[in-house]
Amino acid sequence: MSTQSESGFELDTLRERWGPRIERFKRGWDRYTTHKMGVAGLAILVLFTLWALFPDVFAPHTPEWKAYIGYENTRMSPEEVNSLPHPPAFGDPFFAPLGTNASGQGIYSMLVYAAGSALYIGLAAGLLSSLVGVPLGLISGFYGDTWIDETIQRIVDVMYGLPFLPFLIVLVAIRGVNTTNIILGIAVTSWLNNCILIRGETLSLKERAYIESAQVAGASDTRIVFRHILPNVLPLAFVFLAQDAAAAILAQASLAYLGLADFTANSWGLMIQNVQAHNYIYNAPWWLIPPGLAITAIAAAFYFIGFSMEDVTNPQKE
Amino acid sequence: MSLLEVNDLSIQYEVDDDEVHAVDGVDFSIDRGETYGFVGESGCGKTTLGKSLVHLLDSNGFIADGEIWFDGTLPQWENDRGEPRRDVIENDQYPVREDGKTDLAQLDNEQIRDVRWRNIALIPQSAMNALNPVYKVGDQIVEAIRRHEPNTSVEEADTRARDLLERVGIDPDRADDYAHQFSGGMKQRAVIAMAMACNPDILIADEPTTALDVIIQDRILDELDELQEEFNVSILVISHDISVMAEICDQLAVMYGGKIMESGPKAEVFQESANPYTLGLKNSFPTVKQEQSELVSIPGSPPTLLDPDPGCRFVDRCPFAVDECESSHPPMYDVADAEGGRRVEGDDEKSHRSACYRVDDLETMRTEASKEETWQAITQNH
Amino acid sequence: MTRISARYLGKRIVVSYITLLVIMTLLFALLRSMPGTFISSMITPEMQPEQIQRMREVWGLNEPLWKQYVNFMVNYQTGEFGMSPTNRVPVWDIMIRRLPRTLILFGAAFIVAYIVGPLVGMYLGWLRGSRKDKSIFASSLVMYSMPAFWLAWLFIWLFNYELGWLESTYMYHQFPQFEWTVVSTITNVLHHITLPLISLAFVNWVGVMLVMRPSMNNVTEEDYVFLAQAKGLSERTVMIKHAARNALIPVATQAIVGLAFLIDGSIIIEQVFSWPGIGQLIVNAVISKDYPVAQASFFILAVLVVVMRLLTDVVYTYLDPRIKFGEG
Ligand SMILES: Nc1ncnc2c1ncn2[C@@H]1O[C@H](COP(=O)(O)OP(=O)(O)O)[C@@H](O)[C@H]1O
Ligand code: SF4
Ligand SMILES: [Mg+2]
Repeated sequence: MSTQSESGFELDTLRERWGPRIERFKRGWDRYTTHKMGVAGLAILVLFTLWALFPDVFAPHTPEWKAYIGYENTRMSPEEVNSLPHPPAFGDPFFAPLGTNASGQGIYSMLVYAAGSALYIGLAAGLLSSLVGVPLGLISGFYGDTWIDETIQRIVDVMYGLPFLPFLIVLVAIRGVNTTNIILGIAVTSWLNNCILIRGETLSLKERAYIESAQVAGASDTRIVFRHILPNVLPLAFVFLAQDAAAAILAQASLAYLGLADFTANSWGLMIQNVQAHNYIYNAPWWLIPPGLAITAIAAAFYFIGFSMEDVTNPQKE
Repeated sequence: MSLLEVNDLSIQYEVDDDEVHAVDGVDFSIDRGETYGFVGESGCGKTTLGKSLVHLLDSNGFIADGEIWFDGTLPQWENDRGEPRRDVIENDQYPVREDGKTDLAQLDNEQIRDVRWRNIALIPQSAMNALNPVYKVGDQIVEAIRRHEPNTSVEEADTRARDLLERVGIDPDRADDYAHQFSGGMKQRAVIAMAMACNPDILIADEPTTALDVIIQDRILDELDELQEEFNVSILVISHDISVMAEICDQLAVMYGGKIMESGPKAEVFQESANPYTLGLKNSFPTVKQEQSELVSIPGSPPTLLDPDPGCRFVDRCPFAVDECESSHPPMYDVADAEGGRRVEGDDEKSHRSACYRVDDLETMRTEASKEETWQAITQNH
Repeated sequence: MTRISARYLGKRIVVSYITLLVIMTLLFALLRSMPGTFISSMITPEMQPEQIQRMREVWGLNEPLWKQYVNFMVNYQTGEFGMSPTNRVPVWDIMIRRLPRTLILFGAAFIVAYIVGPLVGMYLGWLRGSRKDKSIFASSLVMYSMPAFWLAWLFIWLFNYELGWLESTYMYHQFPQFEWTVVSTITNVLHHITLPLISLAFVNWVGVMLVMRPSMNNVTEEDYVFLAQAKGLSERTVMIKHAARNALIPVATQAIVGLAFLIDGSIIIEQVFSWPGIGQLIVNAVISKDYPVAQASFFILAVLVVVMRLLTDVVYTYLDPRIKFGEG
């Protein structure tokens, strides 16, 4: 290394270091946008993110609003109560473009206000399982075929034998039904895949890195991990994050259906569960269908993004 | 009469709205029982050329232009004696001409499948991985036989398969083994045995010795030689290793940048080389016969072939380049004439020809090319 | 079967057994860590302290923890699952009655998913990058994203409520004058199993496809697939016999992931369709705090996962001659 340290020099090295990375990112982005599926997924995700950040812009009311009475603290007349759940109505005070549920709340408004919790659960569970799975996979792969690798792989092996949903049910039932526990429960099993796949990738990258750096003398382990392996593994980690997020959102919906949802937090899964609880599965499609579609849309968006990214990060494809 | 006659063949690959001109206007012909070699650095279009003959190009590759006249035709166009039927020859719908040759370039996807293996067997570059790991080696040979000779019974085909293995020096009982139970050289020989299963007219062997150690290399080459005697099959060998060619070829073509630079009878091309590229290539390989003290490789690497410039393909690396070389790629000149100092285009595909504007100055070229400085000078120029 | 695959399977069996022991330990720890004790749900306010003390005795709660653990491990391995406090029958009897029903639904869905998934994955992997691949792949992902219970309701609404073709609850119906011949029994069950089966398989085949598609795509680059083309075999033969046959090998090993999803799915679907299996049982047991039943159901499902994994190992050795006959 040179000992010169003029300010221009530092800027140059900075550019030298980041230039290729920015270039590579740009190229990746260009390739990503050739996947219609990936672009669609991103668009859906952006929409739901906007819902989550500015629900009042998108929804006509807050979830506290009730048909006929609005935000007033009065009671509905018996006929009014009887008309609930109400199909879509576009009247002036009574505006509910997707109808109402049995207690008169607007379906569309609830849908918009629940976007945040779906994103939160998906991203938190995805991030958590990446935070566990990626480092363990890296370690396991880097120390491939040593006792460290062996130990981690045995743990993974055993964890795979755990029936996931029953485990989640028991865990949540015992530790308490709240969003944090649900996220933790999901992450406990979803890191396994990350770990295994990152391990495999690390193993092959390591081999390549050692061969390449055989000419460049004095490449240390840390250098190999941070220069050769991590930059190549990180995009892959994002791929799994997206897929885990989708799986987590679906798992939360399943739990909600089984009555194991946080009833204090509005969620799409809970909305569907309520349709059944009030026995309106066959008679109120405006209530049943939208939350299911919303879950499908956000999970699909995450899958779309994940699989498109996988294509971009996989150099030998296409 | 020649067995295969290739005229002006051009192969391109489509890459993001651009075309890679992997093979560009190539002419050659192969006789029955002859061994024809294509040599050149990697990336010069040899594999592409071999694969294109039986339409086995990657999905983005296509035959852009040219004819591949093969002496033989599809089973359904043959009469009892195995010759093309009169009505097929006379009907313009069929790509079969008066002398009974069929233009393989015009066959469709389904038709070419009947030519593959039955008439032209192609052994891919990495033949060691070409055996399917989940089937017994013998069964894979049986499959090939029964594909092209559906009337053969399984038992009969199996006997033949074992027989073929024995002929390439593998214990016939090993027919019941899987590929992973074979050594590298055995796999290679098993694939060669498989290639002979349907008694093909032409065997295309792409880099048959690459990735094998020297002793096994020799055995494979001997094997090919023996098979040629026995089956009277024509062999098209592709290799980047000019010394392999020296051992087994009758005719030799030197390829560079999708073009044939020099071709003709092996001895002439090899001993009286008349092209800067051939001369450079020879410098960079240890040959079996003459002991060379030092190997000099040609600086630089083959062009990408993505929309190539109009000049001679070799111009960027050629130590003898003159202005004329920038104008267009040189035609094939007759070397016999060139020895006498005349530059005349040669029409005879079998005779010694060279694509170089400076063939009329062979003496200088040959002497200069043997010197190391000549080649090093290029690096300074560019 | 050769010596090598026998050794390989022997190793897998040992690993499976250890897996089960670890899972049971985890289960034990989980259940002992809950607030209150194992029997708090059975204790009513009007019980006398002596009564409670006797109950603790009966359930072995007065023993030291390590002894409880040993008892638990030993009892479970000998099929001693204890009594169900809510049903007042041995838990073992409940399990034996319910297990076959779960196996029928799960097994049927498993077969459907493992036929459809590899087939679609094969085609998509073969045509990878084509328009057809892209659109079918995207649609499959949408299917994969549907909440299973919600989809099941839509199916029920259409095929049961609107069209009245199929049944939506229980495994069969039993009216007094029903004649239990073989044919009538089968149609009876078919009437009931079709909807849950479709609901379950509709989502889960995608998980298998997601493994097969890239595997197939990798295989198409292999030299032996190229050689199969060069031999003049038809595209169909090359795709099925040479490419897909090899692409299936990783599907067998990675199937575990899809398997876990399928078990989760069948728990939900049993609940939706009141299918009287283990999945429905575990949910009800957890909600009604019948811990012996919940714990046994959990155990049975864990055994199911482990056994299925072992089966995939057997399939794996069968599919890959390199394991069957050893690398050499
Ligand atoms: N599928 C493909 N798409 C684009 N270019 C290709 C493809 N296959 C080969 N090429 C290019 O065509 C040229 C010739 O390749 P090849 O026939 O493999 O040469 P050789 O066998 O002489 O090494 C090379 O420049 C190579 O990069
Ligand atoms: S034509 Fe010119 S550039 Fe090409 S080989 Fe001859 S001398 Fe060299
Ligand atoms: Mg090649």
